[in-house]
Amino acid sequence: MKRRVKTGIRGFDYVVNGGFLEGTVNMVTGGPGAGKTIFALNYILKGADMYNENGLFITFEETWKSIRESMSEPLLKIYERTEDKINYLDLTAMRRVLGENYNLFDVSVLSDMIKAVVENNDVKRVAIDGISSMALKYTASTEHRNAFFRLGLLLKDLNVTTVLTAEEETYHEFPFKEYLADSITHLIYDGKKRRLQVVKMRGSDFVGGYHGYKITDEGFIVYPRRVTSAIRSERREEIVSTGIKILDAILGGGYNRGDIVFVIGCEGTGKTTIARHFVEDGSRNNERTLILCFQNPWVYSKIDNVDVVHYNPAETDIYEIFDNIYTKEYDRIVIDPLDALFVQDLKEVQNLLQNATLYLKSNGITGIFILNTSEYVGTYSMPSHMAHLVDTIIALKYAEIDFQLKRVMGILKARHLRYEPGLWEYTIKGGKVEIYGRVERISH
Amino acid sequence: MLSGESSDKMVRIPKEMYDGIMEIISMYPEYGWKGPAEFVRDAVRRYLEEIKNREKLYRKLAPRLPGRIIAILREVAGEKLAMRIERELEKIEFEDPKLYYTQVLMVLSKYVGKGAAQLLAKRIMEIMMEELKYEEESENRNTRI
Repeated sequence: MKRRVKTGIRGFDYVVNGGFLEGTVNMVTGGPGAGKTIFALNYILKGADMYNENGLFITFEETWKSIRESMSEPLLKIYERTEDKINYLDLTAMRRVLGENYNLFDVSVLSDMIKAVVENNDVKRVAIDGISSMALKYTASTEHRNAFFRLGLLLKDLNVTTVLTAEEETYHEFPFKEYLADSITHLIYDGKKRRLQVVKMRGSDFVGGYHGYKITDEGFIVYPRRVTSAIRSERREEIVSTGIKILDAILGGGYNRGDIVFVIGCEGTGKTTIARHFVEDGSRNNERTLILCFQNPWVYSKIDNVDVVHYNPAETDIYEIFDNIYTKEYDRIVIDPLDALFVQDLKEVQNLLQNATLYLKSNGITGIFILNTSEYVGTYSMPSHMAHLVDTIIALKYAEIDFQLKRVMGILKARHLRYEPGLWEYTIKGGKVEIYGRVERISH
Repeated sequence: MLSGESSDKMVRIPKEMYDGIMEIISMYPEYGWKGPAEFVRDAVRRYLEEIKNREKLYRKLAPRLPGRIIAILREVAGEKLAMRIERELEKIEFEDPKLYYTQVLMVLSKYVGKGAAQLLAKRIMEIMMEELKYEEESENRNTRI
């Protein structure tokens, strides 16, 4: 069984099932600004820094000088401490020297160069950045096809693990991709949103579909679409307190551990307060809570064992937001409010939410998802595509009782719980929910 | 009737080449070639001189080759590789320019592959020859002035 070569690119190794297979050629394509060079550079730098593997970076388009000058400070620091493990060949500089003779610089010359540098420097990783400019010099003539085929064989013989980058536009015309590439990864960038997709990986599973990615000072970061194939077949028999004694009693003890609870209501009904009770209870029991917060993060301040992550949902990639769920081991999670995410691509939100809820259920992480509704009184509607995700629904609203508008809550659904049906009058005092009792009579 | 010395040797040339020579002779009578034999002698004499000159140039330029290679490699492959090659090149003793050139090429091939080494060395020699030609022309101009 072939060894996995971890790329060191955060999140990417999850997508390719632990890393590239050793000795394979891996093509990364993308349009301008998609991050191909930074991907290849990260692969070499992180390989040297994290896995102590010597690397070779070959550049056809940008000069090494400009690549080095555009490195962020953290990447430059990595380069400086691993410089003795990193070799490069700047073929742009070579082109300047060779002038017209550069036309004689073909695949066989490149192969010779790679062999010499790899053998002399114990290189394990090779990145060839911008190979399409060379590849497109060739039409599909047998001779040149063979030359590329031999390059692929050479890289395999040398047992180096290679990343090749190619322009997305030219990739489709690239006549040798079938020969050369054991895996193909597309980087898709439309000027705002960045998506990564692996479409082929010979001899290995990979996580299909789209994944988010970002280019930061720390380098290339992938936010994978985490896939949980199946949930646990047995239900957890453990009850988790809501943090409100009377609500625990109404629900027949509290929430089931690992359940997803929707708290639905209009403005001012105390949805966040109910979530805060739950978070405080977690803190008292030394349970760690993640709060994905899209409004008023200070509501959750001064509580121990809590990570509050605050985003502007319109400006942050949905994949980055969801990635927080998987980065640490949490016992509880709150999304406040879930509907803030609906400004993003709804299909992507649904997909990520589906996988996240399966993950939460499988790992016994109890989730409270807050959902705003526009109806202050009367019936509620919930997005139908979410109904199957939910175990418990707590509905909060206003009702006219004795000719006064009062807050009432009801349990619309509580899977596996023996809950008390009916409406319960409550109020919010000093940031706490106080439930008075069952509502006997509502004015109509 | 053949003219020339008894020790002269005969060589054969293809008919197309012979026809080409005849065409040039008739096109440029001002050069005064009396026939194809004189044309060929003239051409061979010039070519031999050029080769000898090239030998002289090689003798002059070959020792400069390592310095130029190192300067280029610093940019193409970085200081580390350039220094390693430089240390090896320093060990080569210069006697015969051709041998020296071959030895330099061998060292270079070890680090950047045969194809790239040949291309680089050839191009660097070309560049140095052009520079030398320019230098000589400048010197001649200055002398005339």
